[in-house]
Amino acid sequence: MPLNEHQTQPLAGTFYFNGKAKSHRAWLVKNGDRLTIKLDAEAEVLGCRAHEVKVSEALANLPSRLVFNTGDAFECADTAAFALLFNQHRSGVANAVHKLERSTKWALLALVLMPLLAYGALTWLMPMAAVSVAEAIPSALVKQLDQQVLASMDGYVFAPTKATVAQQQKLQHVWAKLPHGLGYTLLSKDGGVIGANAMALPGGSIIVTDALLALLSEDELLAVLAHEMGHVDLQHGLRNIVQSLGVTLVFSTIIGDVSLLAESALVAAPVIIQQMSYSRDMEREADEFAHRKLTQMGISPACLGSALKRLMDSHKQTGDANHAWQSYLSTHPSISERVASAQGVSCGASR
Amino acid sequence: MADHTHEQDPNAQADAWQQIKFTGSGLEFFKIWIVNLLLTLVTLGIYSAWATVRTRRYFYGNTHVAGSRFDFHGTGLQILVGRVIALVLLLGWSQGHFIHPYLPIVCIAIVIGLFPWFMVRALRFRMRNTSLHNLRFDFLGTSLYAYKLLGGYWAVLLALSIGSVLFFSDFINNPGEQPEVADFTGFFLFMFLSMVIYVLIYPAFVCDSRKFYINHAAFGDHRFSAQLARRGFIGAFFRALLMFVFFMVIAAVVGGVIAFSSQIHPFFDAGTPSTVTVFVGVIVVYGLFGLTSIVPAAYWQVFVFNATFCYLQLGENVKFKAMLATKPFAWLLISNLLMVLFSLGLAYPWAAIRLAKYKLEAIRCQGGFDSFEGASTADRNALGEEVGSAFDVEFGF
Repeated sequence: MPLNEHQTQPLAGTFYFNGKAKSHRAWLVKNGDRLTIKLDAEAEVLGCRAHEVKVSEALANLPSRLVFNTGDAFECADTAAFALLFNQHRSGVANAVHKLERSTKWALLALVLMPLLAYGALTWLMPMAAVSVAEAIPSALVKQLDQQVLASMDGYVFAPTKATVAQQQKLQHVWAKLPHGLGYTLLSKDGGVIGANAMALPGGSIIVTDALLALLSEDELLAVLAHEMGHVDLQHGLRNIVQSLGVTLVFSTIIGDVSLLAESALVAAPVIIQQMSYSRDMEREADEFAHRKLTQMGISPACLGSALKRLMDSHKQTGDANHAWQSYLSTHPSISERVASAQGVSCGASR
Repeated sequence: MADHTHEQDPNAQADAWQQIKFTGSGLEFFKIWIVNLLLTLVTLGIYSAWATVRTRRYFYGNTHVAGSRFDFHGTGLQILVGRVIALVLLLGWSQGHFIHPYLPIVCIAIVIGLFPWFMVRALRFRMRNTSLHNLRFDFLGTSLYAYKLLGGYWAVLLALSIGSVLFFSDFINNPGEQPEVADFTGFFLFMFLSMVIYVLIYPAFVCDSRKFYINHAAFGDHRFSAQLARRGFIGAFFRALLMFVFFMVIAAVVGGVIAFSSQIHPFFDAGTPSTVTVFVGVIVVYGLFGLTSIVPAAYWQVFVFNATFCYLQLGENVKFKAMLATKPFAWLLISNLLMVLFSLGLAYPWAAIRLAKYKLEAIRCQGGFDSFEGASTADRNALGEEVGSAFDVEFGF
């Protein structure tokens, strides 16, 4: 065979016949698009077109491999010389990844970028995605979730209410005054150890404990209810569930272990709700929501602040080092502002 | 230019024991790992399937046996499809009640009921996509056989877990009532009994499932075989358990001594223990508890590894043995753990390479592969093979 300018230097490697483990020393010659394999002291054993072979993806310094459509294979340890001839037949993406994997610069860059990206994803990408996902969840499903949470908390945290008739009437009176849509369910329960407290579930159930009823004036009660309505209206609870599911999902796919999802009891929605605390931003949003409602009704927004102060004092008094309550307060950024404004403007408390 | 047919001459050394070589490097793997992690993060986890393939190919490709290297031929897309299937099932398991109260039960039933089927699929996927000397491995076990083999174990383990769930839910559902003494006695008897059954069953289960994997695996036209005896496995597991109890007692005693001496030692504040003592005490006790779990686990893993390879045979002529030792292996596990902990995970690639090198290079094999022949290496993946990667398990090499 006459040498011409398209013919490359023979590439030494190992040749395997299809379905046979025995290895043979072999040389590969590429002449334009034509490939030929020669074995030790033998004539040409195989010839074909370069676009008919399967070229293995480059990875570290592992030998490169050609698989012919006959099933025969040629392996070459000289990956650099091989790449010169066959990189054009490889997938561009895989080639790019291989390049990144070999570069020290990119390894260092990845080292710096990764925590930044993870931080960014957790602090704003996930919350943003959670907002739109939460909106897409049918409200019937969310209501069902409320039922499950209530069922799991009744008899555990909550007992049937023991509030006096007068207090019940006060609650109903306040609830009637507060403009609310049909989506809400007001529940009054004996909170036992959790003391004076109110909580909102994603499906619109608002729970008020007996101790809270006894503690607050009508206007303060109204402010707290408006605040809880804010959490429901702005879908804070649902967003928390979606977000914590999303984080688990991404984390488990990254470490390649999807079983994490099943193992981690944390991702079960009712559990999330019971352990959840709202972020500072969510509390601020709910406060602002309550603020607007109160202003519309001609009630001083300071009532929210004074309600919060009273709640805080009541929990200090009982020496309650309950962590959930403490973190609830710590996520209330506006508490000191509201309390401060409460001192200037009277809430007009009438108990 | 290294031509690896010359690394070893298979004909001259057919009767000699040859060591399996592993040539992966920590730094090289670190770069691959970190870049793939970044790509995975950027693609919100989707790239992880392709990252898995590249990682597996790196480890396989750096494992040398009889003048050739392993290779993995599965594709990222296959792994992704498998993961999506697993994800849907597990999401249904943990979140299904959100949609329908019976959905989690259906998903659990699918995962548990079809586990033998998934297992066979996974082994087939793994083996058929692994090659050496350009020849593929294969797995010929059937789901039916897997059900027969595992059914008994499955029933017992399922009964035990259902029993314990019932006992627990009995306590949880009646929080107001004071449980009676008889309830507690029954509960502890049940727990003790199930522990005894577990100790007997788990090693036998490991032995039988290994036998199942190995005796149905093939390379080319030759079958693997291993004569594993349950008795050895049960004995080794029991010894590991004794070790665990021994370390546990030591940790408890040391913890108690530290707690006690910190109260009376004049060097520290009398009455309340100082933060330093508490800190040191916690570290010592945690360290000891760490040892309690790692050393017996190392002993058990070494036993299973050596037992498997010492009886492993491929066809008539290729034999294997493994010479892993508990002490260095336990030290490797402990130092790896410390490395990864103190580097905040960044030393993981070095730890993984060290572990693979230590385990693989403990294996010797005798006999050449040159006479092996097999079916076509062309793609014979049946449709639905991806399902196999849903619950992909670690096996063999």
